[in-house]
Amino acid sequence: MPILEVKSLHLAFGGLRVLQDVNFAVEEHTITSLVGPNGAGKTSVFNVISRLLRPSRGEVWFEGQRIDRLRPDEVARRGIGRMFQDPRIFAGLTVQQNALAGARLRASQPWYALLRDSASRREWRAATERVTLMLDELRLGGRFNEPAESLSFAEQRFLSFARCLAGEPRLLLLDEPTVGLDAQSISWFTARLRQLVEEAGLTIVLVEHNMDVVLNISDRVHLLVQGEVVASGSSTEIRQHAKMIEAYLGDRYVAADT
Amino acid sequence: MGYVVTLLSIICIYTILTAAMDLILGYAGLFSFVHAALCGIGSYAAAALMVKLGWGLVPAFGVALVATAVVAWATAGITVRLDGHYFILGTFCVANVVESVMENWTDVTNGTNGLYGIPVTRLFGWTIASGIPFLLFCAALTAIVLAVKWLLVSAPYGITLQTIREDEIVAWVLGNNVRRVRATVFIIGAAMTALAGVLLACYLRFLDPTSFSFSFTILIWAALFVGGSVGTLGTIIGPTVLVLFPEALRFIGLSGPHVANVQQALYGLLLVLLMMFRPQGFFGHHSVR
Repeated sequence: MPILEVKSLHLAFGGLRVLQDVNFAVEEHTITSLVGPNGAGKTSVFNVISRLLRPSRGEVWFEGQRIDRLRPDEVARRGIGRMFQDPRIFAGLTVQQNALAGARLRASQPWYALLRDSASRREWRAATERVTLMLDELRLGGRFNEPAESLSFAEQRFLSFARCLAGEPRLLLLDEPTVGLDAQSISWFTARLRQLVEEAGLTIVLVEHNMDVVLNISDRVHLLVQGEVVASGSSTEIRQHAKMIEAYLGDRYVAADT
Repeated sequence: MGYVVTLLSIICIYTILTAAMDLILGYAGLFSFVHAALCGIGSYAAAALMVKLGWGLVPAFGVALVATAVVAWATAGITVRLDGHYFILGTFCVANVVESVMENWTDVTNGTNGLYGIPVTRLFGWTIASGIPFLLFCAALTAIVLAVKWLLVSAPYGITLQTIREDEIVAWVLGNNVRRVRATVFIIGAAMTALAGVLLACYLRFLDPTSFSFSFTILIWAALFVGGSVGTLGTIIGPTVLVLFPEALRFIGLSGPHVANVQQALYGLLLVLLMMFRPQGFFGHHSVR
């Protein structure tokens, strides 16, 4: 059974049709990419899944339950993490606070903050340790107490990734995570994504413009053009799809494959 | 001596109000215009129970806190759905309603005549009407409020509040019910505000509706901006500066018929200079600009 199912999704702002009958399913422990030209509706699909937008019609199912009527926080608590196109880190907070902000602790509620019972403190300490390890791994170790706005763009992006992972999601929605990263960081980051899927059992949906990244790590690719899925397939299938070549790739990728 | 003690008592009361404002505005980023009105509800509720029904301080205190929290809960129910400027407008409207209730519900508040005859404060047999005992009473409550606030914000709850201030959408997506978090912090802040209100009633022993107008809210904002939001020290220093500044002007020989105007002008100048050169306040960690 797919972990995420998007069923005949429609979204319109007044007369403007943003999404038209979008259907796709995401299998567990895979990486799925949504590609397409600017304005195709890729980010809107993410916004509907995370319930920042309410679909005009259609359904979204996650782990066998319908989620398109929930609030955004409920969607997140079900296990869907979301990274935005911009890092959108909390500039006024420290690096460590930013990462902890994603952890959804008991002590994030006022009564437990006052009470500080041992269970809350234990959970809080464990989260701090987990976040510390994660930041070390993302090469942000040693900068825990610096204001997050002092980080470079790429570091801010990694911080927002850490913040997203701190909530221990089972499904990650990543919106152009490689924009602004150099080639070395991109290859390190894509390897990390693959590792999360294979070793930690996550499922990832990616909106991405970097075709090398898409074709390199995706198990499945959906092409969106003007709010419609016009082509779907594996990386190998999609790179030879006529619609894909027309919308996006140019012949370079086809030539490389033959 | 009595003069200094009185000033210190007032500083304590203002510190409670500023700490509550820091929680609501500094941490959660909610520009509440209803602060003074909530303080007024606390004042009036306690005073009316003591004057009209002859209640003791402790039960009056309790009811005042609950009454203010209930009004805050209702206010939050309407206003936390509103974004930014609309939240300010929403709280502005509620403050207007509260003020007209204070003016017109004459059975309870005596309307514009003011509520007088608030009995001398007695707590468990001790009289703490003024002087050192009253100062100690105020200081103890201030310490409790500051401790509660510190416990709240030094836990991950403090991070949650600030995420909502920084980026509401991201806060939602990270799993925070933004509306509920806002409502809760608003109610907690309101209860603290009510506490200061009761102390104010005990100190003034006379209440009239104009005491709780918008200029009072603005004074607390100014105290927070001067001292600096997001922290403890700023919420003590801000009110201290604002209470002592006019007194200091008196001591350097500024007196006579124009003194009030000069004071206001210098006070304005202080705020302008502060906004220009130190927008985060003396001890703040976050600029509220």
